[in-house]
Amino acid sequence: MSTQKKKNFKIEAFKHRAELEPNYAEKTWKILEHAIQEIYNHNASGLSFEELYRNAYNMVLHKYGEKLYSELVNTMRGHLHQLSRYVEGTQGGFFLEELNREWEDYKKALQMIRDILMYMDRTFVPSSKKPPVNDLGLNLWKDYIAQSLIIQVRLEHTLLELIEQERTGEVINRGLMRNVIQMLKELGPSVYQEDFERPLISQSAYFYRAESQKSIECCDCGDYLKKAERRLTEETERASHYLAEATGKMLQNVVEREMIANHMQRLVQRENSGLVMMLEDDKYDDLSRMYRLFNRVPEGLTTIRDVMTGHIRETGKQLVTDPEKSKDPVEFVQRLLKEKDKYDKIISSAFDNDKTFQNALNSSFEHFINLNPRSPEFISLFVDEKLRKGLKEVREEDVEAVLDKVMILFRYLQEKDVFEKYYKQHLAKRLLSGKSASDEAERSLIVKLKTECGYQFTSKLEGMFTDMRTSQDTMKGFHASQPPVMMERQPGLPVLVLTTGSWPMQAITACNLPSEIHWVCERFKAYYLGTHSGRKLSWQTSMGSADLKAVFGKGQKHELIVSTYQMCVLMLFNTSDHLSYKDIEEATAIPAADLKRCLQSLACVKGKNVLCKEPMSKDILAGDRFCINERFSSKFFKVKIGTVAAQKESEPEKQETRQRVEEDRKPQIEAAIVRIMKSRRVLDHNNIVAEVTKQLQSRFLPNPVVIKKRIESLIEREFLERDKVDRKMYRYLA
Amino acid sequence: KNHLLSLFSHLFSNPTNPNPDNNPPSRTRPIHVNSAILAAKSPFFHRLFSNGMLESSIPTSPVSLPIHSSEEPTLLDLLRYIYSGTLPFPTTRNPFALLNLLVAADKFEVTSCVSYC
Repeated sequence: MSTQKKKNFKIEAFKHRAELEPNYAEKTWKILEHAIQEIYNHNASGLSFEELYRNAYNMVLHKYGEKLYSELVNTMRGHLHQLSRYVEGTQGGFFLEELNREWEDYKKALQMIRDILMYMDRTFVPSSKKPPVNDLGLNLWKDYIAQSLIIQVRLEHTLLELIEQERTGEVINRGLMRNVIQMLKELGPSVYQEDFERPLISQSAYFYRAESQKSIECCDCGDYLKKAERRLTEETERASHYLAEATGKMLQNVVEREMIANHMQRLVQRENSGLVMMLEDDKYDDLSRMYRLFNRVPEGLTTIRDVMTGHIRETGKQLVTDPEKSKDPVEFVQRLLKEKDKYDKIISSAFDNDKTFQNALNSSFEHFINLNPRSPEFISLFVDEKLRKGLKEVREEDVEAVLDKVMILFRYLQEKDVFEKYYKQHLAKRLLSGKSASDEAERSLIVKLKTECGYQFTSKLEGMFTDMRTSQDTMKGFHASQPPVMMERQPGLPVLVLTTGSWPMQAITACNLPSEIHWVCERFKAYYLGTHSGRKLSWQTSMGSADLKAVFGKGQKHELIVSTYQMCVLMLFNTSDHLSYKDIEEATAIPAADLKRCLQSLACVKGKNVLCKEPMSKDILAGDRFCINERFSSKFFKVKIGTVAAQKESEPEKQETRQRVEEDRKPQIEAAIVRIMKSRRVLDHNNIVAEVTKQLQSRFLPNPVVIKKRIESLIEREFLERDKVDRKMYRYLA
Repeated sequence: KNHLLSLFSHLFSNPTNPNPDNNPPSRTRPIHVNSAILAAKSPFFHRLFSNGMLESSIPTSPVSLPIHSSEEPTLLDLLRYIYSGTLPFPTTRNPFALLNLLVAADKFEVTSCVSYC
């Protein structure tokens, strides 16, 4: 029964289309149009959704979709036309509010219209390739309102003006801004970009250009940067409140370009407040702000780095070349360390530990430290000061820290071999006079040098320590071999057997030792050569020291700590009261320069003048006569006499050291050339120079002229030959 | 919103009139439904219960859905489908009933039912 009924219904359904009332479509549309008007008039709550949906459904079902759609367009156009008149007519300040309210209403109404025409949207619209109701509504809004001639200009102008007002410190209705700008976004990215974003960017550029011009005239660098930073945060904040994210980025770019990039040079080079000032006054906050801001623009960090490098080099150069400042080597190095600490701290606390800044700092130091050829010597002297005992009671960790810092300076040195030379001398003095404060600290520094420059660099230094140790054993053996009676009668003779080559030794200038000593020396020599056959033992009298017990005129007893030379001189006075310079020179055979210095320290130093000199004067002349100062007194029992402490070298000594260094370099350069040629067989001149320089870099920077000389010498000795055709090519002969 | 609404069915004597609003209902059948379940399956019901027009402006008042008397079984089938996701045996075996159901499902945009049919 029911099947039958349905069947009938279906058949009839096909038929009854023809039976529709003639004005069916018109009547139905009127119902819908009325409803749409009611929706626009905020009377939607009286309409039946079901009824309207059904009517629209039926219209589409009965092939009136086209009519429905075009009538809808007409109705919407009519409504928008009225609306645009109304919006255009709003008075000044309420323009945005009105526009926003109309927009909100329009959107709500559009939503309802879309709902009742849902079926059309779903079936008719896709098949007829028309925009769906929602898009249609937005497009029409765009045409009639947002992009209508008058409203578009007014809207853009109002928005930009409000933003400018906010930039100058006024409070604006951010919610309203957000809504209106959101409307532009909803109308499509091109509307937002064309009608708002682009004008905003150019207006902002103009605004910030003007502001930066004004600020840079009247603010110092630090204040200006503070301002720029504040502007950047403001723009970020503004974007987060009512702009698109991309616009925020663009505005930041504008601020970066107009306020920073365009004024970088002027900012950093500003006198009295620029980068140099900040560096000098350790203004970490300002520096770190500058770093942050400049980091945002291209070439920004390079600008900072260049100025910083220039400044470090300039101040460094003054530091190392000022003759006043290089008078005291320890002070000199201390200043370098202080400078290094200062910039380390700046880089770590203000420049985010930037690697490129650290590199710039390093290269600057390398540059200016090597401007002073005496830097290696001074650094060694500084270490000597720190490692010598008795000067200051320093804790071990402190010494370690200082040594680490010194190693940093050492790394900057180009002439590391010069440092080695001086270090060897100073270390020898420390070891031989027993003044090394701590074996551990000495070793630790050598380990550091070893890790820095390799085994070769420190092997001789380590040899010195080995010598010290074996000498102790040798002495034990020697004492054991002597009959005890002898030991008591003869003076104690601690001998240090030093390997030639490991120690910095001057040409042997043997002096005549007092017979007591001489005798013991001979016994030791006999013992030593007895146990180590085939060796040669010579006495380095210029490096030794001695403790003497002396009794003066009124019975004052003192122990004098003197050098070997001084001992030789003083021992002479055991047998005679008065001696002339000539007598002493003859008896001891000490070289004249050394003798003069030694006599000076015995006779002319106040408080330590164990000898009297005639005539009294500061200098030692050949005609002077000497006698024991019987009235000598000192509040100390032990009196240390004129030990020549490690000092800055005098000019001729410096020359001499320099020469020795140059001499030492020759075989190293030659060895490098031979090593290179052995593997390459044939190579041209420039490449050899380059490779030799590279190989020796860790020790010193060889001079190309010297390399050329070495090559010539090797050709002479037939290690190499010139190519017969190309004279610039060398060939290895083996 | 999980409140229950009663659904009135208007049944019409003249099946040829597509616009039944002027005719008084021949029969009213209240059906208790859950608006959330209907809204979940059909955009039509979703908007019906929420878009601010007459039906949704007073939440407690009944919502009427005028239909032809012949459509009543179809509508009940559709509601059944919306609740259970399946159809009763007689309907699935009846091609006419299925056809009607398909039309109704299309009207109310019960997409899952359209594909089920």
